[in-house]
Amino acid sequence: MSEIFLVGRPNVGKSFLFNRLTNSNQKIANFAGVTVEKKSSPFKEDDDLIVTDLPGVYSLSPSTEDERISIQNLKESSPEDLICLVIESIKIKSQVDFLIRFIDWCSQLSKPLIICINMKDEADVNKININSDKLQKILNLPVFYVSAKTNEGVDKLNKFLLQKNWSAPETKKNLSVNSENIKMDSDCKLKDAILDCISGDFSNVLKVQNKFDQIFLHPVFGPLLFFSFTFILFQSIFSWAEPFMNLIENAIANLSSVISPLFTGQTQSFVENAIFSGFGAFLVFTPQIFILTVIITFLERSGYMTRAILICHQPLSWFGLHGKSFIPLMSGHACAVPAIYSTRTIENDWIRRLTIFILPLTACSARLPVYALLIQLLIPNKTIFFGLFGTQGLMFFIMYFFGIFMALILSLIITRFSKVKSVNDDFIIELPKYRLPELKVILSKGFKTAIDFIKDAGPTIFVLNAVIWALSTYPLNPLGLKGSYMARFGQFLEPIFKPIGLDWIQGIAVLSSFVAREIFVSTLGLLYGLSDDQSENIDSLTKLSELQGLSFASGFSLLIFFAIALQCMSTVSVIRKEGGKKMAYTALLFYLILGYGMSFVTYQVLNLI
Amino acid sequence: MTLWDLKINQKAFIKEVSIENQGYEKLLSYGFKPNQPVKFLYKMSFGGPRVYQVGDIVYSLSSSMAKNVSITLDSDEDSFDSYLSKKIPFVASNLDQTQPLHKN
Repeated sequence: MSEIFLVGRPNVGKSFLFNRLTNSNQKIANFAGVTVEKKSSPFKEDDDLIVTDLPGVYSLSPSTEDERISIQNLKESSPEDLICLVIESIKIKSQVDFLIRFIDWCSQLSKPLIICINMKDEADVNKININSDKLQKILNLPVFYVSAKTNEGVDKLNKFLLQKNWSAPETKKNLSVNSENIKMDSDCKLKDAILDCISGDFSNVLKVQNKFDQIFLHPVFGPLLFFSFTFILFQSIFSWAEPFMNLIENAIANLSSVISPLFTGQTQSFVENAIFSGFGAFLVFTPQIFILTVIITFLERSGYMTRAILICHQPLSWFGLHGKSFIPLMSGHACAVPAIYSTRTIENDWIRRLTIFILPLTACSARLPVYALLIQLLIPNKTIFFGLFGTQGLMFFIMYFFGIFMALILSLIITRFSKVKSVNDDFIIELPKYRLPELKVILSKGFKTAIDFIKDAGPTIFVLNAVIWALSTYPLNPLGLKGSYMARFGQFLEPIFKPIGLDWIQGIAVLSSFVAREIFVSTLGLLYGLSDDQSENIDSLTKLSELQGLSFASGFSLLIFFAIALQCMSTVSVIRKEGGKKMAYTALLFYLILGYGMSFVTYQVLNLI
Repeated sequence: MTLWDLKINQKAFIKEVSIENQGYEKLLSYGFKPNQPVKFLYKMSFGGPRVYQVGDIVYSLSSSMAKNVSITLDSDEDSFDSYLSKKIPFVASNLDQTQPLHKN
């Protein structure tokens, strides 16, 4: 089975081309370092061919972990494999030197190679002409001029790949180590010949980019705009999602009132409580996941994310971090797992490890349902600042800010008390062209993430709900939930949760959240549903929580615990992979103790007040 | 004179990249090579990284990196823009001459 390796500088559209060749849906964004590990998938026209998307490389001497992965894969490729060097059309001039060296490298190692000049659509808009036929003759290599975005020229590439008839570039046999001058001369001539194939006015390419950058990178307006975007992001998660959340909530309640009466006895209890109350409580929060993903994807694909890195570099360096720590910290708000992988673009190993360690403090989407429930319970819904902002949305922003604040403070403390006294301040980053993201692509990304959220957590939540329902229902007794196995277990553990203001039901919900944070909401929904006689008349979990006496102090204590504790086993597993076993277990224990300690202080202080 | 000494909108040509700094290889691989025209575009608050146009690519560099790039000022008002339609000679670097890696 042969493999086709897509390689090239970062942000030249390799992942876009990969998706075209394989019908995949790999993440695409408009900044360097989106792909940090190799991704493989069968070629859509022939399952015997595997297409592999490699992280971007600036040279053949890797300086980051993701570059090392690429070069290692190319080195290990067999003579039957094909390397496809992807080049960006509008930046082709600055990539010619790399192209020449890459061809030379492949010819010396007898690696079959083709050149794929991508983003033809952008070259056409900027009236830049690249004579790919002439270039093919000069290089004596297959050259394809395509647009992965519009699919132009991709068919021709597909046909070539299907033939599986490829060879390595010709070796310059007459050259030796001692003939460097001759080699240089031939490379200069080759570069001239390549540049002769390119024509057009390149000065237009950066004009729009510079106009936007004058605003977004302004020393005063730039940081202000950045802060405003972040604030609007978290406000919108709460306010825009509300109508959709109500819609889902009502649909579940209506469905429950139709389906539950079809059953009797314990089956009816299972359907009503385990399925509709428990699973439904978790399902309600998918619109918020959708909105968060849509906004983050828009920022990534527009090119603004790189400007945010730049704006954040200096402030982050005060806390011992790097501008490149911003992407993991930002994407950690969706999920910590890909965020930890994205730290691979950070060159400095100490900063990379520090970023990984503090990442669990960013408020991931699994915390979102818990925050939404507790904020609705604790904060009255009022409008402030002339009706522009809601108090609940503001609290939501504060909780997200709290996560980042804690992460930065922890980073500062670790940096101050570590043996590493001087961290290398080297920073270099390429600023991509601004691009208007396609609405369809952004929406489909949002839907996919929301569906994945349900698919990933759904089965676990369903099984756990069934177990909790069984333990909370049996043995059948006149006391109901209070006489169940779950009550006995919960009351046994109550001394652990009492100091942070939780009763045994909330304690069980917290315990269940160690399988996945979002399970907390469904468990609470299930247990409260079972324990409350009036549950049929109350469709809001918030009201049920109020009825069950979750006090202001207990609610805040819970919020703090969920903001800090590392309850996600997938995150622990990825920390172990990227940072080592010691870091993973240290993080798990440290955040558990810190979370418990801070919620204890919160509960005790609020109780005194 | 180094990149960091440029004033906003000032243009220059790269003279050399200091080999003493560990960022040397990175700068070369990003295209900071002799004869490349550069233009200082923006600076961030609090002494943060600065933004430069190098050929047809825009980069942001911290002071530790920018101070390693020696430059000669460009007095010709039109030369930077006109560069974009001109040829720049091929520049080899130590980095580019990486020995072929062993085959498996």
